[in-house]
Amino acid sequence: MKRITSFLLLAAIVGVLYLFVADTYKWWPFLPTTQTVKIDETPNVVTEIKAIKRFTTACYYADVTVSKDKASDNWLKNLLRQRDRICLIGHGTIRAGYDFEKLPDNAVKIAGDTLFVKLPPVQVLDTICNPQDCEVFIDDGNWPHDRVQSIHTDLQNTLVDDAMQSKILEKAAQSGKIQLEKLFKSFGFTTIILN
Amino acid sequence: MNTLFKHIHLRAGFLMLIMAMGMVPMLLSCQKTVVPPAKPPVNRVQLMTATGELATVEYTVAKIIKAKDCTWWKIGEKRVLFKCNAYLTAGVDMTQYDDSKTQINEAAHAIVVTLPKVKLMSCRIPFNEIRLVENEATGFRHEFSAHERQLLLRQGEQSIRADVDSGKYAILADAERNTRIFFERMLNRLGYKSVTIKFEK
Repeated sequence: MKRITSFLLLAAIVGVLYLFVADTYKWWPFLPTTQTVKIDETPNVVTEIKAIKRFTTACYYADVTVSKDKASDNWLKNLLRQRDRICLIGHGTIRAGYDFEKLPDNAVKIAGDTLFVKLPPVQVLDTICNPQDCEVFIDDGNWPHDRVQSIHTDLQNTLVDDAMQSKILEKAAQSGKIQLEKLFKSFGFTTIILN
Repeated sequence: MNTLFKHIHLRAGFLMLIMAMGMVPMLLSCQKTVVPPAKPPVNRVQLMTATGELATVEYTVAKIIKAKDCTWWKIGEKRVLFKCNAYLTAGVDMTQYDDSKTQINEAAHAIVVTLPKVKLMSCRIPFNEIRLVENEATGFRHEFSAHERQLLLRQGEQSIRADVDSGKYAILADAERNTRIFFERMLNRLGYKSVTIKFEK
């Protein structure tokens, strides 16, 4: 009887200790870790329909990684001088070109077969890094949504900076002018002057 | 009775001491000393392409993403609720424009332009517009982790894309109408009195 009681007590202590460590380090070797929760069916509602005139003439695609760490909320990890870590991998797209909404009223002038067009400045039109384009590669510790959101903003800023360094605007201007020249020539003009 | 408890305490204490001694080096081993590289690592792959996509309509789609994880063998449950916006654009890909199909009648100031078929250009779900409304856990459960939340958001995006693919929205019809208006106005400004815009089938 004594032996059984002592064995049960020891087993309970070991069990509680295991649960605590496993919970801290998300180490559950006997449970499937890839179990995905399904979202509930909810309607997707169109809230706005807007007419736009955006001419994308260059796209930049890049994979970027951002890693961050912070002091842990867990006392055991703090005791062991371990920090919470997160690593995001983003597959982003930067789209650049002209927004023809910004075309001034006097942008087009015609002199015989010659067409003068004053184009708006090229700009970054879209930065796309959707949930499907982003992977949480390391998720160690507690990372609240607002914190992940700010890391995501860093990731997008890195993408835009990279695109700028790769001269996306110059590429967009060059590509845009070639295509607009081809288009206006097909409309019957022989000389196209784009500024 | 006292002897029994003393005996148990001694054994438990001894076992815990051994386990703690065994676990500390194991847990510390997770912390590797990172030697800073001599050169910053190349952590990106990049590609730049020239395109010619004229987007003429933008739809804003609002979505509520909610999920609940409650299994009979886990004590407690966890719930999450997000609100997000998706921006869909559609228009024509001008790199596919075939200028040989354009017909001009200079005497009548008439032009017939055949444009490529309209298509969906982009779907953008800005992360800074994803609002976490609720995230709670009861019992012995933890809130959804960053990785789990990401997987749920992916499912939300898939749901929006499925609606677009099924033709639920009239985005392509709107894109065709707006593109027609855009080219008609432009060609009128360029001096054409009769403008016909067609789209490839």
